[in-house]
Amino acid sequence: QIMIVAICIAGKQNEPLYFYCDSATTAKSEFADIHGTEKEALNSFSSSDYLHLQMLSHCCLDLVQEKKTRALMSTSPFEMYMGQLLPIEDYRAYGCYCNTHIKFIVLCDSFGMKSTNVWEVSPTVIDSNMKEAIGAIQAAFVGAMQNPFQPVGCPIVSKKFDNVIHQIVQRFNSIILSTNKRRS
Amino acid sequence: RMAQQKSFQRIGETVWAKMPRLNAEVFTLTYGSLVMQLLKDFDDVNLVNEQLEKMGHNIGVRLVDEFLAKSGIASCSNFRDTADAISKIAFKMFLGITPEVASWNKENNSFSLIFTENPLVDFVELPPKYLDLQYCNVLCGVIKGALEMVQLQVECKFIRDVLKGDDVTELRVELKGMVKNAMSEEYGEN
Repeated sequence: QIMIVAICIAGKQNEPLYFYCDSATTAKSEFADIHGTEKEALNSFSSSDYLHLQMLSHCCLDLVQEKKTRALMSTSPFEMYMGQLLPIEDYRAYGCYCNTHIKFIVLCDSFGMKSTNVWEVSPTVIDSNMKEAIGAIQAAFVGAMQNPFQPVGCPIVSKKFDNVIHQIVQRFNSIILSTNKRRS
Repeated sequence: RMAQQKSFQRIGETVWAKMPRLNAEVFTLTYGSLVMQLLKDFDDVNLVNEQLEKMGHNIGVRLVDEFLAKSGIASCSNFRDTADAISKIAFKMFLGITPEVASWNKENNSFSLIFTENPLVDFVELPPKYLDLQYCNVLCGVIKGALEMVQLQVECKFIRDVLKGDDVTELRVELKGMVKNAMSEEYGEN
């Protein structure tokens, strides 16, 4: 079963604006509730997974940068959505780069790669759903930035945003799951 | 009574249709940056609330003339009609929303406006340190200023706010009395 494990939003100077992680996400928001500061929310981790996924996302940023410079040099029109960046460890990374230099990176866990099962969902299906998901993440990001109390260029602290991201992930996971079931 | 409410609704919708349009996001972002700037300038949340009401007051005293001209409403026979006019015509023509009039008290001189939607607060999330901020206080000022110009002295305040976790925003309007028509001091007799 393929599912989104982590979402990373990075700003102009690659500073972290938001990080969503499947396993540690509840722990992170609980921490934010107690202390209420953005810095502590981002630095908190209760499982090694969280840090590990952050590191992987960071690695992807280099690739995003590389793809962007390469795309700018070619004559084809500049596309924000970059599709699958690379398979990294047990995950697949997808990226999106906006004209405002905001980068979105989504890490996808493919159950098929970890176990002996042959991967049943075709990459194109995942890609099209991922494009939709990243579009939704971008829209949610725009909504979060419209809050006048959200300083630009600072980590996003918003319960509404957390909920929306959670919903996007659930939706993506359930679509992929249902596609998987239909084929098997 | 119902017939008059329906006619107020119709007037409100007709006038709203003729008003020039503004992009909702531009409006929301403008108001948001206004509030942020006030918070930066004044530091104290209570002072900001005061400023927002003063600004609203300035808007209200001028807006009421446009309201009377465009709506064609002559005068209201009682305070209940005033409330309906505010909700169904004024709010409709200027903000495109119709807050519900509710919670009348026994003496019929105090009511609530219940907002289920409000363009001022789209996408806004209040951080915990600004819990005492009345984000939409400008609306209180507008109502107060506008009614002052038609000789009604009212007090307005928010008693429920979606930004603070309530399901609706509730604005309480209380009639304090008639405004005495006083000439300015220049015309006073020595």
